[in-house]
Amino acid sequence: MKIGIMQPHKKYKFLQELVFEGFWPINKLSSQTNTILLLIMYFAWGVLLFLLYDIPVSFITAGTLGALGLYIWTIGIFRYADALRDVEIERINKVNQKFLTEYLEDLFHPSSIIFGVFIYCGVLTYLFTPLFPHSPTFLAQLQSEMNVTSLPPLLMLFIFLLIFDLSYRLGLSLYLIFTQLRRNVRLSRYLKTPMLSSYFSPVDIRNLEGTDRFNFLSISGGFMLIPLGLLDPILLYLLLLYLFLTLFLSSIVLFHLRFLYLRAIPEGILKLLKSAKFAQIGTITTKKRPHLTPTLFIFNGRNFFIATSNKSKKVKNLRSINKISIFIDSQEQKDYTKNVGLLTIGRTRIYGHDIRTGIIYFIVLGFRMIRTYFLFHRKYPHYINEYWRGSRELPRAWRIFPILSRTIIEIIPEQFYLAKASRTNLVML
Amino acid sequence: MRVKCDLNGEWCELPEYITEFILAKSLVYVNTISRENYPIIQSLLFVNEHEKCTLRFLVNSKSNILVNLNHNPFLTLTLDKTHPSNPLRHEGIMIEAKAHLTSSANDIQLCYNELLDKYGVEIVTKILGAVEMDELIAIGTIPNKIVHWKGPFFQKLDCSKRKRKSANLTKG
Repeated sequence: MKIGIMQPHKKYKFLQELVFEGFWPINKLSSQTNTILLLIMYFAWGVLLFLLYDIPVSFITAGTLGALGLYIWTIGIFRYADALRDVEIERINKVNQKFLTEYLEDLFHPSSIIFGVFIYCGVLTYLFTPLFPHSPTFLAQLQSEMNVTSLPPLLMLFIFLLIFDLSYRLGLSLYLIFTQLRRNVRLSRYLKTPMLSSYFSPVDIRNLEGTDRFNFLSISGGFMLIPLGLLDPILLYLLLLYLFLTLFLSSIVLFHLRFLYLRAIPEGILKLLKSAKFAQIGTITTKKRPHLTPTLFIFNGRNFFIATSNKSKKVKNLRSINKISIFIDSQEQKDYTKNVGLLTIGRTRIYGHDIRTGIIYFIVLGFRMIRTYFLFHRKYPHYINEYWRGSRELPRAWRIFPILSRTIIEIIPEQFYLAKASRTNLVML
Repeated sequence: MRVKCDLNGEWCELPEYITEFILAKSLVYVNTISRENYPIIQSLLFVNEHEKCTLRFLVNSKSNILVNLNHNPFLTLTLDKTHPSNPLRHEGIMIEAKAHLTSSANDIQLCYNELLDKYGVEIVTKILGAVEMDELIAIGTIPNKIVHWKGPFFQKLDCSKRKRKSANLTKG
């Protein structure tokens, strides 16, 4: 199940996209183009209202930012939907197909509008009904600020439409998060079933997590609504509560997927990763020749880390071709037929290839670098002590001077392969 | 035993400790380049052709390694001996080489027999599987550069020059 390169049998669409499909000429355009057109329409409409009526600048500013937030949100949700819709469902195994189809059916179900309708009804009721007896409604306040007895129809229509669009988006994000939580529970159940767990690759789960981040990021579009909330304290509190809740739930979804990623790695492999002391690191030189060296490594439950001289051949190769493989095996000396190896291929992040870039990385990712150092220290206490003890006799490249002479390479896995008994065939995990 | 090899007219001279190190090892790590240009590492059983300075191994004709070598004939091999607590006592050899593939029945049988001598019938059969000889391909590695390290000290041996190269001891 590779997210982003496959095509399903059925075209899954959100309700808004189905509505767009019913109107010419917008049905000829892509969802992304329609979103931009919608943003332009809101801007043009807002400018027209400002020119025609005496609308407070704060209202127009808040409306403009609201429309911009709406745009960011919609783009995020469509990117998320596209990544899932593009899965070539015919090419994945039956268990993955079932899992993905169930998720897509949930995600694009017509009931996705239900939260939006509730929010819309709630907001409209609040706008038209005084919260306390004799207190003015939000619309009545706007009327008094504009010195009019009734709001112009063009402005009312603008308010209704903008609120509908925002409510739909707020509701859809919430629905999406609940669907993701449900999907995670289902995935967890699959992974607990021994016969089914092997159908789920940890890399697929990682890809799913990457796709879910689109939704997490799209929620950030909600912060653009804060100026709208500033027009009314109750709306502001409700908006902040919504943003806190959605970001919190979305974080839970992402953390749960990280946990499931680890669970998708077979127990035997996890034991191997814990017990193995050495790994073989493969890179490619600028002349397209393979390069191979043994090294110490740590696995933090997600990525691999190695430490090397910042002048090493590995760093030079990776700066030119950022593709790496790391091979960890049980180094069974007595019976080679019991030898088990894990080959991981992926890309890397070099935490600085000289002093200048090392300092920049330390400023940005200092905490992670220090934590990695301590993980190395915990796994290889004798080694680190030996390095320190013999430091003066070592060549400069080997001395432990983080940033000055050594650097950390983070290996981000893209695929895992299992190699059993030194056979030449690799099995994809 | 110091070995001097003539690799298609190019000289390669291996000091005794290198040949002994190769002879003592049972598994070799092989790095090839896939069609998607990713380095692919595998561990393999091998036999050493002493007088030719080459290592040889057998692979299945449908294996990833063969697909990779058909795409890019260069490969790198490492043999290493790690120390459980002292990194300054690690020792290893990295061989940068070009693969020479052969499907000749004689070469395959010869390599197979040498594998049997080195590892025994049980291991060879289990690892290569129950395959017919015509499903196997023998891969010989013609070294271009050999690097030997012991702790932080490296020794580079260049096998690609016509004139005889003496061992060049370098630090770093």
